[in-house]
Amino acid sequence: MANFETFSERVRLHAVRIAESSAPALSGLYDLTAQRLVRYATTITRNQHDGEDAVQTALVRVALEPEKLSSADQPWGYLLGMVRNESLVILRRKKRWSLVGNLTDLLTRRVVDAVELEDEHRAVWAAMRTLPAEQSEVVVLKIWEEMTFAQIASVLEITPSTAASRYRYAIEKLAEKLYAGEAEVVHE
Amino acid sequence: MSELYHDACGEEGLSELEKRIHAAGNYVRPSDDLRPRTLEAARNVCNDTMIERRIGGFFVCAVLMFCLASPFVELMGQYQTRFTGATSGELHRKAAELSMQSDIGSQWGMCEAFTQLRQTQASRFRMPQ
Repeated sequence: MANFETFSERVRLHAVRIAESSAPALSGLYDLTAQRLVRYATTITRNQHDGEDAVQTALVRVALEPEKLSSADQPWGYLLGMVRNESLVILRRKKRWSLVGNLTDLLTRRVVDAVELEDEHRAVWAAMRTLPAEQSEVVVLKIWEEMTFAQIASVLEITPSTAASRYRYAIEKLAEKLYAGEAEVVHE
Repeated sequence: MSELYHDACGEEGLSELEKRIHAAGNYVRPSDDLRPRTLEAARNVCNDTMIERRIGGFFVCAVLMFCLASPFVELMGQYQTRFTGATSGELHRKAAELSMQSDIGSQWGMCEAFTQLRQTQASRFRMPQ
């Protein structure tokens, strides 16, 4: 809870700076939020390039109207909501084509001597991509953004119980995917 | 499959799974060109918006000026007719008429014509139409 609110206040501070000095101050907000926003948008769009486009569009909107962000009750939640909307627009447009099932679009952090760890991370991302967007986004907000179900509910405009049940279904599926994958490896 | 889920989603298994997902959170990073691309797009959009606002402001000012100036121009048009004097041809014609009517010389006729013209102009200034 504290993390979310502290981060929200930092986002608000940057929004105020953008309102004062226009587009050049956007770099501060970008540096603060880009990695988390791209991660969230990529989960929804299931493609990093599309996710980045969604983040770019949302941040440009912020540069145009920073007052909306700075005056929001929870600026971080509001910004996540903006990115979510842009991601859903892209996702709807892309549904005409088939969604890519592999992870070739992902730009990743490669740690030396951590091939096994990388495999594990790729397995998690691959499993996340098999989930419906409404479930995977709840997982992102709950685990990566460390938000409560009430906060998730306010961002996604659903009830906390719906957020909780989506999370439960998502975890069930992820457990099946991740542990089944491991079981297959053991059997081999 | 069900057993796998129950193994994973016990209290400990669930926590382990959440940790595993959490660890993968920083696996993906934004591409290097996203930052300059975003900042440039924002700068361009802000500049375009500023130019659009200026052009819009200019047009609003122009319309306001037109609305304010048009009654003034109309009023000036009315005054212009008052300022416009008779042409020399009209004055000569009038002088000839007066000299013939009153049987006075042409020079006195011209003098009388000017006097009447001055009176007409003075009456126009006194009583605006």
